[in-house]
Amino acid sequence: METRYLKWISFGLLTTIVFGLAQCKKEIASTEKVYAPSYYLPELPQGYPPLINSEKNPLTKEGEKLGAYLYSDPILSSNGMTCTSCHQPALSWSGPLYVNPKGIKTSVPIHLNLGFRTVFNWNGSAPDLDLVAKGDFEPEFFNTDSNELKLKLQANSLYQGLFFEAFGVKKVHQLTFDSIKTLASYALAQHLRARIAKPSTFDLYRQRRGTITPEIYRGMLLFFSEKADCFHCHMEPMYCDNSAHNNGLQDNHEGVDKGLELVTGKASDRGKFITPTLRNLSKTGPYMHDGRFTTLEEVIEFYDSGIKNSETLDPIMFKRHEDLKLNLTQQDKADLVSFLKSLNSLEE
Amino acid sequence: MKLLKSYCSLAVILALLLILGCKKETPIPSPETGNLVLKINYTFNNQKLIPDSLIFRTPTGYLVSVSRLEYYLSGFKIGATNTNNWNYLNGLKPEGNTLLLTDLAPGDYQSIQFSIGLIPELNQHGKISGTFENNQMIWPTEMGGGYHFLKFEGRYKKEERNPGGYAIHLGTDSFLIQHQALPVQFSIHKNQTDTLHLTMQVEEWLSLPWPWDFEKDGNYTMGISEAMKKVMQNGNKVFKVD
Repeated sequence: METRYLKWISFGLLTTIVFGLAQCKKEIASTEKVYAPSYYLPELPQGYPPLINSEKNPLTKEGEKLGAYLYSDPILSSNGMTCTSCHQPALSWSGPLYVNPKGIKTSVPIHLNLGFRTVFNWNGSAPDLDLVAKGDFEPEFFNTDSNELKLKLQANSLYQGLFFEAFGVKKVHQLTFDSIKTLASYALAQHLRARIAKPSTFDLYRQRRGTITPEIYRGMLLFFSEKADCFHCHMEPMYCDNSAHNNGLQDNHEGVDKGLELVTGKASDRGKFITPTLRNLSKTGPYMHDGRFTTLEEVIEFYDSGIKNSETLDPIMFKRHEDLKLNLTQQDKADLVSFLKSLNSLEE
Repeated sequence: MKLLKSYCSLAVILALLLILGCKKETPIPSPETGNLVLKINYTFNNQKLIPDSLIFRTPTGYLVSVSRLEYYLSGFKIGATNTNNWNYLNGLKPEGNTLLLTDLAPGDYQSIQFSIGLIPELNQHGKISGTFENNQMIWPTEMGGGYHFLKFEGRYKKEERNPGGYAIHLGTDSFLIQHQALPVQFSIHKNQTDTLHLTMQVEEWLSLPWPWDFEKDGNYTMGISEAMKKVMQNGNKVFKVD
């Protein structure tokens, strides 16, 4: 009799355990994260061209978030460097003059409004924003040790989660080094695509939501005139043109000063460099590809009277003045500086 | 009897509503149209235009190169029919040499005509799409507004003198180029895309009626009415049908 009861009790317990386990399993399954990125496009300021989204790396909130973390975190490097080491937020994601181990000087390009550009780096050597950051893992910059990076990622639950949410990769540290670099670069590209300049004093004036000083107004008239002729390469609202030009910095081009020619191999591209945006300009010195000018006044002085002729000098630089001079007055130069400063975002 | 009338009235109203309702739902048949692709070739003195090559001779004896050739075509007239098509073109980039004219009435045609530049209805900031290329073509508000109709730039050289640079730009409504009608027999077929080949003879910009002398006529034109008028007149026969 007792055995009979016991059998029933055992059966009941077993059933409870099995049923309980099944329920438990169900609960575990239901709490497992699902890869569901949120595709989006940021709201653009008035007059901006369409953002160039990437087919292979479309912008998602999760990818942008991962990129934002990686941008200022030394986890990608083996020497403590981050993207912000050179592209400093306080300097509108530009930085002081960069000198590489060979002694070559480079003005740090501004990381702003890159989602509208089709070519990157001063000499146009990078046509794909998604892959630009892969070069940062090299010894010259992050000097990344692949094993060290994998161990750091393995031990970091935050990044494990962020990489999963952004790209659906559960164990990022198990990927190849090249794949990790690619995904990190993708995330950084997304973050940079979403980084759009905030309105400037001049933007507000254009939108009839603000006023400008008489100095800025006079500078504006010069900027958009044939006299100073800045607008042909620096047309609003981007203040750059996705093209390379020889703007007459020198009459002889050697080494890195050959610019685009080093990328295309064409002599007709000698001395050409990609036009930078003028937004936040007063924060992004030194100026020109090699940072040879430290102030805006020096830059304007150069365009006024320092242009040097060469076989590839841009035709625009010849306009009006056979001697390649603009003949600006001191007042003109001061007004142009005032106008250029009005292109600074009012907030970061 | 009154009740019968009321019923009849109600029936009539219902029938009308039904008919009107049906009419709305019946789709208006859209005319079957065709498309025309214009493929544009660029030559200089019958030679293929090679960018950045200081090898092309003008009627006034200069050697010139071409480093930029961007423009708009708009105001197309196919036979006697006007169309709303417009296009940005870049003569130095392969992807910038083709344009598609859509919604054209099928039939046989004997000519095609268009304007170089943007017709006044389009030549205002914001009237055309704000692509990067279009924004780069903006003619500043401070200089009259609208868009550049043409950017034609390069270098020129005469004898042993150092090469100079030229920038022939055209814009503002008064200088829209009404290109002469091009006589050509072609057909548009229903639901098909036909193709027509045109050539821009680039040397014509510097030829007749104003053979361009950079030292006398200047090396830039933007904002100079007299110079832009000459360019406008030179430009009305730069295209031919292949």
